[in-house]
Amino acid sequence: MFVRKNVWGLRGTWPDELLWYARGVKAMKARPLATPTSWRFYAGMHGFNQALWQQLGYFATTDRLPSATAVRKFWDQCQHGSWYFLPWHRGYLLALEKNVRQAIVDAGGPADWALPYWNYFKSGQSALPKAFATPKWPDGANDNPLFVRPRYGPNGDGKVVLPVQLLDLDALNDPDFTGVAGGSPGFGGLDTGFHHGGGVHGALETNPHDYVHGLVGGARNNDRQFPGAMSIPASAALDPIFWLHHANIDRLWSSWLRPPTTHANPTDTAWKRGPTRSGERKFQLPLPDGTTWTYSPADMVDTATLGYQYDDLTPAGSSRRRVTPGPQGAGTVVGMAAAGAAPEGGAVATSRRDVELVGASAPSLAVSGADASTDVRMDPGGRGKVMAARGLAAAQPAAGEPDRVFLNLENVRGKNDATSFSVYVGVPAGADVADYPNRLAGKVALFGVRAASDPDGDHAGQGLTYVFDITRIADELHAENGLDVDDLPVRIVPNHPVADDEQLTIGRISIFRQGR
Amino acid sequence: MTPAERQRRQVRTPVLAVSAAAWLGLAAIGHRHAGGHSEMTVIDPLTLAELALMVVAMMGPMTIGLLREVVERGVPARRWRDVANVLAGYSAAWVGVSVELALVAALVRTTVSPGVAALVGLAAAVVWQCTPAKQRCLNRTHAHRPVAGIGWVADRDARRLGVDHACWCIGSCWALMLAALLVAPGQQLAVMAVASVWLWAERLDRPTRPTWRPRLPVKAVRLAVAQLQLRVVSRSSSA
Repeated sequence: MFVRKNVWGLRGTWPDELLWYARGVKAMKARPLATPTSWRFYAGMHGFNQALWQQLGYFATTDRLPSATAVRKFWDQCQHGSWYFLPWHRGYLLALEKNVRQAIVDAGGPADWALPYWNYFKSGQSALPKAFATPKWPDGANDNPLFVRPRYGPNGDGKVVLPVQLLDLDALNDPDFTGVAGGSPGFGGLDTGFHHGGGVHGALETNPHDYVHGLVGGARNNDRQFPGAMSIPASAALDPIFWLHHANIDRLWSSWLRPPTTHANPTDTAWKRGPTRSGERKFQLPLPDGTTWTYSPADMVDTATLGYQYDDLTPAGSSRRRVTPGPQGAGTVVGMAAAGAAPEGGAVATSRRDVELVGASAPSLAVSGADASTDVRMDPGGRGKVMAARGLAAAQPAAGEPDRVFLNLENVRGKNDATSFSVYVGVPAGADVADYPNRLAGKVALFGVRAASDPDGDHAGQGLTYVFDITRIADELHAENGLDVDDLPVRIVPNHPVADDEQLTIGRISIFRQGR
Repeated sequence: MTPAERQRRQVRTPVLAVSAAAWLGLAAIGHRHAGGHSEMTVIDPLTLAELALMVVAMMGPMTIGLLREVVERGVPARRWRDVANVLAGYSAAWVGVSVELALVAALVRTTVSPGVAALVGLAAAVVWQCTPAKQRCLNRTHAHRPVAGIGWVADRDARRLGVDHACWCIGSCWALMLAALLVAPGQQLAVMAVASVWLWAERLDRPTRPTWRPRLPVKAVRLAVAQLQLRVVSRSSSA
């Protein structure tokens, strides 16, 4: 059984696991682009953009692209905005790990090498592991393959320390793997076919996955013309830290399933068999022995069956929405609170399937500069149902959640994947959002937005849609008599001012209730 | 069943039922033509009704994705109103264009022999099928403008959404519609049926870069093969 370990739990800057990883990466990087077991071929399976790769220094005019057959079979395969996100990436990690391990064994290294993971949630572990932050090997040679020059960090200055206040583990509180349009996106995402990008990201994909990509990659001096490799799906897998980040995402999937929760993977045939059931592409990856591995999500449900485990499944993060077992006992999580904090009682996230629109903004909000705002016009009937549900929740907290309320940012389009912003609900016009921390609905990282905005791309330029649970905010507004209004203000606050030429727009901001 | 699959069926089933009814209506009218009545040379009310039936029969299934979004992202109390507004915009655009296509077809048929008219239609459809413009229009049928959803502007936005979607549909499908109108009346129903299957099949493919190339609805074939394999495997395992 291979054991994936916390990279920060390994001894020193260059523990054996990272030293051998670097050697394996170096060997794979030395292979030509067209070789299926080369580093760049593997990165191309996540996504490929020749102009971007050239800019980042990963494609030269002398490079020979893989054959058209190989490109159609393997490249641009990664699943995003889909319930296939987690199983596809699990297979991708496994296959890359096998290739690196073989390269390690060929170089005389250990046959039990396993990929470490980066748990940025753990106290003191939010900085990039040191072996990735230096261009030098331990012997002083200046070609450390784990170091990547186009890796600019949250402030665009090359220093990668993740601001953990922007990350959270709220996703682990979601009782359902599969989401529903308008309502909860689910832990794992919505029911889709083969889905290379765009659409609604599942809860775990949204945060921390998308956020860490944008925060690690960043953009040079915050200039979007020079994104970091990790910031863009078409180049993210070129950066060796990508694999440790995704190992953590994979680990959190296992954490979500861990008892005493009753969380479960989907049992639908459409999920288990994967997109080939509807005539779409197979999940296929090249193995070190030259064969092609074809797999489906049903093959990915249990890491023990796949021959590996994690040294620790404790998520070790903070959750704004802490839950305890309720009367039904179903779909709840314990132990998700930050270390030392007692979980709140009463509120239970239960599975509900009825979703309806209760409010919507005017179409097309342009976001530029330091902030943007709009109002969500509330439908009187829907508003009444939400108020009744919030009143019931307040009167009988032990009875469980009758309803949940979600804010949707629909069809977000733009040109800068490294942009991120915070969304506030119910902050009065002209007021400072810093005075209303409890009105923060959520945070958005635009990982994948540029490709998703292409009208001739896979999803016809529909952009990305983000969903936030604002039930708590609805409770507060209800308690202050601030919910019985015709228009609810929404404020968008970017982490860095948005330039006009980013053409960042939000198609519509809407509020849905999910419940009875 | 996932919520998404449930929603798909809730929209797909009634739309396909209405489309099937329109096909039956067309078949009945087809018999009227086969009985020796003169082919259409002017647009009379009966012809207009026939064109409307043709739009419902052939283009009905093309609205399923659009209507599903309207239902998913609209206020439940307005659902039928939103659907009606979208379909009103969509149908108005399509019926208007269908009248023009029918007049063009009638003009061509008075100019050349029936065989040549059919060939002209086929040639136009094949050439258009290979153009970047066709692919661009087909790509745009997968994207929908956001709508207000609440208040009086929601009616306006829903109609505009229907018209928008129809315009891209027309851009993608007009040549096949014309080809169906250029064949002899006795063969029109069969050609329309084949064209409908083709149009549905190509809508299953994902958007792709507009270039000059022949386009074949590959995904529909793979879907059919995959479903057949599933059924064979399922029967073998239950035997």
